[in-house]
Amino acid sequence: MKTEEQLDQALSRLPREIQPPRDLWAGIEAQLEPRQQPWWKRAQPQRWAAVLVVALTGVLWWQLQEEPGQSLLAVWEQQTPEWFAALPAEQQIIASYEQVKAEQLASLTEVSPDVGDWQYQLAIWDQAIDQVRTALVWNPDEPFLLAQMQGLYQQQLDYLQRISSIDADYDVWMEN
Amino acid sequence: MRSSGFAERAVLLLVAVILVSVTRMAYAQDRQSIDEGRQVRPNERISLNVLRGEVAIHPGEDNLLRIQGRLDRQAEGFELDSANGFTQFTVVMPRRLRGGSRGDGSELVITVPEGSEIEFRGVDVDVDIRGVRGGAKVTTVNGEIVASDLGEYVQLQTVNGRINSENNRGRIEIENVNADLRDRGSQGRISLKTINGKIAVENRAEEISFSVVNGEVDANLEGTRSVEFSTVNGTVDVRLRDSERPRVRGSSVSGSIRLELDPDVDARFDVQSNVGRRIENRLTDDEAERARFGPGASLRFMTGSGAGSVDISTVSGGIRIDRN
Repeated sequence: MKTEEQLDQALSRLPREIQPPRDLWAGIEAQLEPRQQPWWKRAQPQRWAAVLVVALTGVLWWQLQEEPGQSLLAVWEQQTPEWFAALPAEQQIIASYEQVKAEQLASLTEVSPDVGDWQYQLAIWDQAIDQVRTALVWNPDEPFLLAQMQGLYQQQLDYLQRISSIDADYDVWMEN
Repeated sequence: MRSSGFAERAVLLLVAVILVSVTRMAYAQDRQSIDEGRQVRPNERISLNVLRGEVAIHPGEDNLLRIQGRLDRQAEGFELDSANGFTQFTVVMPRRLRGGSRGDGSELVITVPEGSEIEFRGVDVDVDIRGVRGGAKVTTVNGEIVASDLGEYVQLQTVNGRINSENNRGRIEIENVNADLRDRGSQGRISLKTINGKIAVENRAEEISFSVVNGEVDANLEGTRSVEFSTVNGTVDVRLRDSERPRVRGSSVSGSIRLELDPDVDARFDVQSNVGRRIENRLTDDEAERARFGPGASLRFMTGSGAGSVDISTVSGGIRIDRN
């Protein structure tokens, strides 16, 4: 009678893998019936998402063409106010302020050279906003971070307002 | 031959000197002098528009508004209108300036009633305003503002000019973009804002707020009840003395904050860092705790009965609480 130790030794001498005597897959594949998937199942989910985004953008763009002068934000709110309200607070802040900022930048025709590198200055705020967004990944909906983000956007808007009003300082004399 | 060449050159030099002198005299005489006076009300609202140069505004007696000095070299004249408690003075300039520097600008001394309210607007102009008690709003782009002993509502605003405020009282708002701000000895409710400049303060304001983006705050406060500050990437260093139950509220994105308080301060402390752990407490033995989830930290403690409050938050900057 073999001891347990002898059995273990015999087991350890056995090969770890056994190769099949021939390639079995070729035979299995030949027996399979070709199966046709419906087209909607063949499309990947990412493609569906892309189609949806393109369609939504198209509708919004068409709406903007119909009603020039309306902001994209306003159109969103008209189309799906519930959807906008359901956005996370962070996204609502970004959407609101980026829209106002874009409008202010568009109306900024000429900036006085006295201001200096105003675009660099705006970039500093943008970097800070990115830092806050990174922190929001760790602390979603944290009131301090949301307030901080709002404050940074507001500083940007105040700055844009300020630099656009500098030319107005000269206007006092230009009116004469 | 040699002596005649020397004489010729000497004559030419003499002619050149005479020509330069005559031109300079003519140019100097070109500047229009002004000496205008008006009887106005003791609380007259006075609006002054001087594009460039140097202007001093100070209080006088007998409710007299007086404007003395010289106008801008390129000025086309001036307008002075006074009616029903409102006075407006403007140095009229051409639509397009023909070069020149601030040295070519107006040089004016304006005497106003002590109780009057002043609104001054300029671009490349240094303003020195003192002793006006009815309120003052001074706006320039590149000029320096020196403002002292003003009262009521004081607003001082530039883009690139330094602002030096001293012994003002009331509601005071000081703001620029790229230069330094300084306040010494003022009292009341004070707000100082700059983007890239440095704020240096030494006063006994009741309430004070600072805002810098990339700049610095260096504040020595005495008896101040309420302090607010915010920075993005800058540095805030506040030393608060003789304020037993202060209310302090501050924030930064990645800038650093240091707050120095009296050892017997009576307040609740709530100090938070969202994605950093650089919180240091040298006021008590309490230590910051790491957040259970995420990379943040917080420090909460109380001194005395917790009557005042200190709330400071940062996204990723450093915070240090020190004792005086």
